[in-house]
Amino acid sequence: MNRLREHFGRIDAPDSGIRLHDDEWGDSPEFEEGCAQLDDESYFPEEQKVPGESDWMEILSQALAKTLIRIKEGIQKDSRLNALEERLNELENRLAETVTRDSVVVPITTFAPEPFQVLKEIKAVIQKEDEDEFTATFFDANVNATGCNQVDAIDNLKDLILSRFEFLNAQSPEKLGLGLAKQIAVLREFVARRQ
Amino acid sequence: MARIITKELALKIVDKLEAKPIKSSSKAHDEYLVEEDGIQIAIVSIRRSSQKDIGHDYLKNDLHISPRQAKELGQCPWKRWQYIAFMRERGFLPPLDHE
Repeated sequence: MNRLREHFGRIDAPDSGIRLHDDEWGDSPEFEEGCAQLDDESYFPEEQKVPGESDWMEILSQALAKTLIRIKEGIQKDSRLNALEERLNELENRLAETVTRDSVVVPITTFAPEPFQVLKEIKAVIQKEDEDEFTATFFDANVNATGCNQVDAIDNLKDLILSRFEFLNAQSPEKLGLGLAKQIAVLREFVARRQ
Repeated sequence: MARIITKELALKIVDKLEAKPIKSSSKAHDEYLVEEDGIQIAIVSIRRSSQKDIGHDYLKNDLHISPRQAKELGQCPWKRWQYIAFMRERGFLPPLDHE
């Protein structure tokens, strides 16, 4: 052991040219000089930055948010489309019904050859019920008649208006319920027996 | 258009309401009068035709009721007294003395 100490003591001697020191690392003036020339970054180079690597959480959240917005927009578009489709179907049905019902307003200006006159033009509405069935209505007086075509329906309505007028005109007012009292009141404005 | 009230159903309604035929000058329709306590409530016109399924949807207007009520009247759930009560409620008939 002593021989070892001697040996190392010689090596460590200042004139030996060999330094074996137990100084703290970096305490030696030589090292201080050397360290001054060292570039920290060459030893500990800054980690190479890959774009998006360090803030991936933020980017992921943004991407998720964008995706959610797109999904939401898609759902909104879908529901708008569904609503439009529903509305379109409804309009199609209405159009089909209108075309089927084929309403037309026909003015009644005469009861000839019957001995009655038209005091005011009667506007009758004819509605197609079926291929060979039409309803003619005098809405003001609530008189309705049917026929196998438009002309037949109007003829039948005229007949019915006169029949109703004659019947109700002959009744005492106290016997009439509200509906029929109103009916004769309206008919009297439009129809009169020819003198 | 699907028919709600056929002639067959219309005649059932006339029977149920105990409507009485009246003298009518109409060539194409028969007319029936619905009365209650001497008050004339409505006149129903029925087309003269051999076709039982001929449409009478306008009957609801003659009777001052809805299509559903007209159908129920013909198919049973609605009785005459219910129709009369409904007419009173709507003012087509004067209220009863005790009401």
